[in-house]
Amino acid sequence: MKKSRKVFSVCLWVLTIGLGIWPTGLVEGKEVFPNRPLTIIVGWAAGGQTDIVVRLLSKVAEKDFGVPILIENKPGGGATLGPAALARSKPDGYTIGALSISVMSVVPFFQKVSYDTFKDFDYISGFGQYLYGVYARTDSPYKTIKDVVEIARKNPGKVSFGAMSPNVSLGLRYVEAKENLKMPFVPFKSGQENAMALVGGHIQLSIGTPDSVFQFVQNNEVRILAAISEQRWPFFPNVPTMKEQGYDIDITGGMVFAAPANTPKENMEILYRVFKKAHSDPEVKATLEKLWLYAPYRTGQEVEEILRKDVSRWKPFIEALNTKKAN
Amino acid sequence: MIDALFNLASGFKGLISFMNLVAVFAGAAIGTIVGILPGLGPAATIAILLPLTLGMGPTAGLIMLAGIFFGSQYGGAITSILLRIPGEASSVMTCLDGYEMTKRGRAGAALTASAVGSFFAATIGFVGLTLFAIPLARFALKFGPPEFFVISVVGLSVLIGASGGSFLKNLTMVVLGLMLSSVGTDPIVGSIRFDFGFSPLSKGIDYVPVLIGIFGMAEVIHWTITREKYTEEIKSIRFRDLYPTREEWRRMMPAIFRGGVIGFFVGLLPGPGAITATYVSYAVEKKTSKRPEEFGHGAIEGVAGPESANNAGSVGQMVPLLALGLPFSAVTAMMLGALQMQGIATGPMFIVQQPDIFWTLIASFYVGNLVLLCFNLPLIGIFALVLRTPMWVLMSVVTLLCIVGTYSLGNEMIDVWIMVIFGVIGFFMRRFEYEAAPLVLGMVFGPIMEGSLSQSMILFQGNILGLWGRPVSASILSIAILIFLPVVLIKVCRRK
Repeated sequence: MKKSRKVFSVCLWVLTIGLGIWPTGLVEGKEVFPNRPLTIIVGWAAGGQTDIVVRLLSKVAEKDFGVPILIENKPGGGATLGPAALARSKPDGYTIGALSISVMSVVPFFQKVSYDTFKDFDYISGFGQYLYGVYARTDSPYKTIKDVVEIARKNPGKVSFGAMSPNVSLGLRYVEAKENLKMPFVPFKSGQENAMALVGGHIQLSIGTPDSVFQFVQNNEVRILAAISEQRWPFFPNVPTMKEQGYDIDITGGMVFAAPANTPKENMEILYRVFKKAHSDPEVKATLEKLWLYAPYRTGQEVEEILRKDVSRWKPFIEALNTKKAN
Repeated sequence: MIDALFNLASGFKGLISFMNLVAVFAGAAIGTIVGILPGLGPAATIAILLPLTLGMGPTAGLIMLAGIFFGSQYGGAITSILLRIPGEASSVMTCLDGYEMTKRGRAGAALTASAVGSFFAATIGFVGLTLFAIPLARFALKFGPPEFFVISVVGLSVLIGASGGSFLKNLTMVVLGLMLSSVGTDPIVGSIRFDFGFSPLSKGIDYVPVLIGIFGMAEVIHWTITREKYTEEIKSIRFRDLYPTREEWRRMMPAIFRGGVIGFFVGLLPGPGAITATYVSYAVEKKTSKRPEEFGHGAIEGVAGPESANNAGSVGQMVPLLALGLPFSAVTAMMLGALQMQGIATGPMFIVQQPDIFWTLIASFYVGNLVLLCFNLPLIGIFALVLRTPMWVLMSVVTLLCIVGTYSLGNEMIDVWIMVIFGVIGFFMRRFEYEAAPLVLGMVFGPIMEGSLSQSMILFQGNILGLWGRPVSASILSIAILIFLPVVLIKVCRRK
């Protein structure tokens, strides 16, 4: 009994230690990237639009990498928790993140973030485009943005709107600032929560991607007041843009993959190649189209250019907004 | 109603896959074993096995975890009846009359009463789940941030009172849990707080490693230090002894029905529903019985009632989890963690958006229940053999699973350290009689409460009285006050 117990515990230790050093054991001999699982940090809740696309892409990419990819959801904080975690990760190519262009460009003006959009990341690719709209319940008096302005003027502080992050809230903040209104903005952790709060009548308006409200639009519970895009949406051609309704604003966001800055060049090359290939996978394309997210593939450099353009476009407006609030 | 039947049929169809059926059987078997083994409860087992189920996919993983939970409610009765050692906290009441029946040679009948009762009561629970969860999920669309805040506050308050043990200790644990949950990143503004410059903390303390530590690792440390002996010989029971007499049947059936209904409704409330339900059921049986003097001396109702109640109670606990995404017990908190780690959005939209998972899960409950009935009647002798497993083997396996499982959650060593630290904390909590569930639930509810309060404050423009201005939140608050006020008043009056 005594002896068998000793043997058993020795076996257990060997097993434990063996498991502990197992992955590193593989590294020795051949230095091939990747030789252990990759992690993709997603700054949104599981089951959301970005999450679905990333999971699909990672399934395709897994085959090319030959190692599994783990998805780590980090929702909240106006979608800044994902990039914050990514910036802190080891720059070895094993941890990458799915980020949003408009979060990266605009949000740092609204809140203190622990990362620098340009210094802390190496962008891998751009793989999808977000669309945003303004929504209201069909049993509400809001039919156009003009209705919103009129009602909000008469009821300051009563017409609240929800959105997932401050960059998306710009759609109505722009109107609020221009018309000198007071509309409370409620941040939500996910598009579903936001849509649920709208349908439940807890907020009057919501800004989000069309997929978050699609089933409610079909059931005639929610209507779309405006598309916050440069052009009308092909799948809802009757919905006018914000610009058509007199407010020159569009939020053009996109999904991008990024690695922490200073990731080894060789590993970045492999990441570029695999994700470019994954982007052309027919199933990925079909899903992106189904979710109205389809956008042509963009390289890391192109992504960075878009970010710089976005920053120069929004900086003056948001700074003016912030000083106005401070006064 | 027809809809529900149709959906259930589709659920059965979804269940027929190799992985799902394996999950049903494995869950039931592990649950039964865990139920029989004293010391290792469903919470510990689910905590330890949670990481392993992640590879099974959401449906099979959840089926297995639920199977373990329900199975342990069956198995817990066996040692209570035969040895007067409760396999689970929810089988303590069963010891009273169950062991007396064994002494009188009616052990077989008691086992049958417990298994048959568990089966029928669980079925009552499933019907209740089907009838309640969906309307509740629909109704929950009326719940905005203020309602979620109010429900969380009231739920945690009830939990503090209902978890057993000292009120002050439970309160301390909940507050500690809430404090731990605030470490990391602010859910609304995104700023980092309480990380003390230690960057791994900036992502916050995930509650799953804490669960594994406090329920799994703490058990190992406790055993290593105390060396409690559980194993004892069980006399074999002849198959024909399992048949209760006609008189026993007549007495146990109403008790099973009452226990099932009581269990389900008690299970809906925050707190350890399955355990509380057994006390309530035993009290009810004793009060309504024509022969209250027999209780404690081998009354079959005293076995059938509580054993039915704990099964129905464990089903009742699934209602707030599946309909609202709010877990009010340690076990359902783990299932929430499993769902979220599988990438499933929880909350009122779960049933609407994931009907396949929901209905397959319900179908698995029915099948699992039938499997458990088989495990617990004809096969009971085989399962009782696990009591011969030496503790050191068991505890070694548990240690291994705790470490490997925690690491596999996110491939991060920090999680393992958190697990070990909370294992030690959990050991001392047990020593000094602090409950673990309030701590963990504080951690689960922290972000929910904080987020919904911030959102409510924006909506009410900083006026907290706005909570009274909405019908649902005002009613919940009023009910809570109506419940708590008499309790507080009685306490105050007694002190004078």
